[in-house]
Amino acid sequence: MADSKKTLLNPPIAMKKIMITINCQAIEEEVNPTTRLVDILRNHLHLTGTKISCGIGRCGACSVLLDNKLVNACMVMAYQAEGSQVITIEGIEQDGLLHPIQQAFLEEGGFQCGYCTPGMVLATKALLEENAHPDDNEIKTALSGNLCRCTGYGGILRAVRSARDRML
Amino acid sequence: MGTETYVLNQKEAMILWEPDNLEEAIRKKLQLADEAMYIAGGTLIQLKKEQGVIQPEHIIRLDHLPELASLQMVEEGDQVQLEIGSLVSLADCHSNQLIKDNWCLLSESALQVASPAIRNRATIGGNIAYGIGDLIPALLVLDAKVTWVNANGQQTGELSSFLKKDASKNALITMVILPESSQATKAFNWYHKVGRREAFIPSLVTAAGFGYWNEDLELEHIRLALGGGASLPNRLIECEEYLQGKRMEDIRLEVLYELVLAEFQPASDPFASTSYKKKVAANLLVSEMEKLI
Amino acid sequence: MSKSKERIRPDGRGKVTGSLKYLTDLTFPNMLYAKVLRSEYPHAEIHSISTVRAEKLPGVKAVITHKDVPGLNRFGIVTPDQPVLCEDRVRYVGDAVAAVAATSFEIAEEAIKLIDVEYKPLPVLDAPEKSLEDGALRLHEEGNVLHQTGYKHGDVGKGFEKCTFIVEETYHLPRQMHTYMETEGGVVVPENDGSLTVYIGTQHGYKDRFQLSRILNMPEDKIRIVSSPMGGSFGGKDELNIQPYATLLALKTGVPVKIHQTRKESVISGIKRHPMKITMKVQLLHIK
Repeated sequence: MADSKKTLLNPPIAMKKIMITINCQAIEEEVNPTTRLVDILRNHLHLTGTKISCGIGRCGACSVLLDNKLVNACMVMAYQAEGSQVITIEGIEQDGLLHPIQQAFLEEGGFQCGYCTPGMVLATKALLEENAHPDDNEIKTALSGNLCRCTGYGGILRAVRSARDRML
Repeated sequence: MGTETYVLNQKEAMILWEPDNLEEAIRKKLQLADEAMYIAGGTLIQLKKEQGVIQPEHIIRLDHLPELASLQMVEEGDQVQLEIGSLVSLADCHSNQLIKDNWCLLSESALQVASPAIRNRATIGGNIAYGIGDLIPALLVLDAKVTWVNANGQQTGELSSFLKKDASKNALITMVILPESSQATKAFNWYHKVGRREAFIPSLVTAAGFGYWNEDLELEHIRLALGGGASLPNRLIECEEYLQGKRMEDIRLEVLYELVLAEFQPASDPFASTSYKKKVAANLLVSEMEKLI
Repeated sequence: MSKSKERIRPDGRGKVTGSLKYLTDLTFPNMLYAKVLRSEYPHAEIHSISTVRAEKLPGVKAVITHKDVPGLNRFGIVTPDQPVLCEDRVRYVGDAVAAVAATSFEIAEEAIKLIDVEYKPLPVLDAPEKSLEDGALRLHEEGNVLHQTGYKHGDVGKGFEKCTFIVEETYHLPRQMHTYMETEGGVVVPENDGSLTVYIGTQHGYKDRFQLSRILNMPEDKIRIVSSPMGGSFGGKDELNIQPYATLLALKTGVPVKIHQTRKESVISGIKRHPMKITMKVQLLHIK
């Protein structure tokens, strides 16, 4: 093995201070290499609208927008989010009013126990920002990483269609 | 809350290296060898970590290196080729217009991996480094090449040989290269992933095909590849040889079916046996050929 | 749209905004975080449990074993025969052996690994038939049959003589897991008057109170259960799950204690529907 002192590489990082903008607020956090974005949101900042369920990116309960892209907050390491803009469910209301997507979920009953709902709302937001006219297939693809175990998918699909129509 | 006072247990601590550039990343990896791993999107590593798979102590971050993030058409002799940086996300592999128009199999296969949120983080380099990624059969039939760096320096070679050789060990994939796509009018291609449900599921069988007929309606070019589950994806060389140069009416599907069964050797897993996977693969492949003739 | 507006659920706003606090979302001042040590063996004798190393880890505030259960060290809505914390034997992968409260989940997790348990593996009874064999180890003092029931009406034999078709078949049903989105968890708060408030999702607040009272040897009116909101259950949160450990630790430390199982912990320890083997003989009678 080569002598590590010869390299000019930055020293390794055990703890690191990072800046993230969460819901338009700049946040400074001390993190280690295994701290996840979801740990910062739920445990440090008490933004508990972002849920934690599977921990391996398979259920979508922790969906947030990272630089406007849908991600699982359990799969993004905190250091990877450095300098990024994060939007959580707490950040999508507009002037104290429900976002049209939230309004659609509310009116169409797109939830039962509600534990998957914040993730569903954010997955819908990511979809409609990229594609304003999704058909049913595109909606299903966009929500394929978000599980509802109460099997309220009928109401959820109705809510996404309704959100699409009211946002046109 | 409590996590702030936590002192990492030395045994389980991860040490993160953030190289300034590609050379530094490579140098660090060569130094630490098996004690370190590269991390890009991190979607697979995080899954393995939660599953309790022991991870190397050191991780070398790549996701911030712009050298690995480009996507461009490059002239190579009288041909143009597409060079895809290894950090290009699966979401971009799916939606990029150049890829959609010219290498639609890559675009299609990228849509079959995981979910939108994962595809936004997962990279093409990571899918190949995984060794059994669902993109691989599509890339194999497109005659993809990869550029990688390991202890022997930088090399470019066929994806198929990269996967087979020890080359992939400790290697950093820097680029995926797709040769100019065929302009043949009678070209065909297909990609299928079969899992236990429609979306977001590990594959049991992943199959891809690409080829074109010449003016005499002979199969001038044919590439077939199969993978799935924990099986290393492979081209079906014997099936290709059988089909190569044949006229439509000379292709006997029952022969092809038997050839697939003989050549494809998938591993069984808790959900599906080897014989089931073989049957699925043979059915997919033969039904696709049947559509053509 | 006007029609759907009339049906707006009163809990809807909190759910679509994420502002609704599920019980695993709660935080209290001075709160500790707990983890449960569970058996890695399907069947084994426990020879010894040593918590010395775990107690020494900085940040650890309490470690409990069966010795810390003041009341009945058993739970079960119908038949209380499942150990809260195993004494001398474990009977499945996931049987609870000890629990730790610490200043963070990470420290509690580390502490769990520092609890030394000496096991002696026993033969595994992994099928009902096996456990009914002569000489099979007895899983409980009462033996290996939990429940037997019968029902008889008319003369079945005679009926079968008359029928056109008889189908006799044995059917196997796999184990099923409820996989509620919100894994088991919540916070137990010791109140100033000596009572406990249990903020843990459950389907039976009163039965939880009854069982906890029996385990803690504490009057029922000293225990208050807050059972919702809950992120799914589907029958899987019928029975106690992590309530005993959080309450025992809260009583021992005098501060609020939180447990929120990871998905992996939930899969290992969560209650499932039993797999079944059903043998049925069905007759079809052709009536003209």
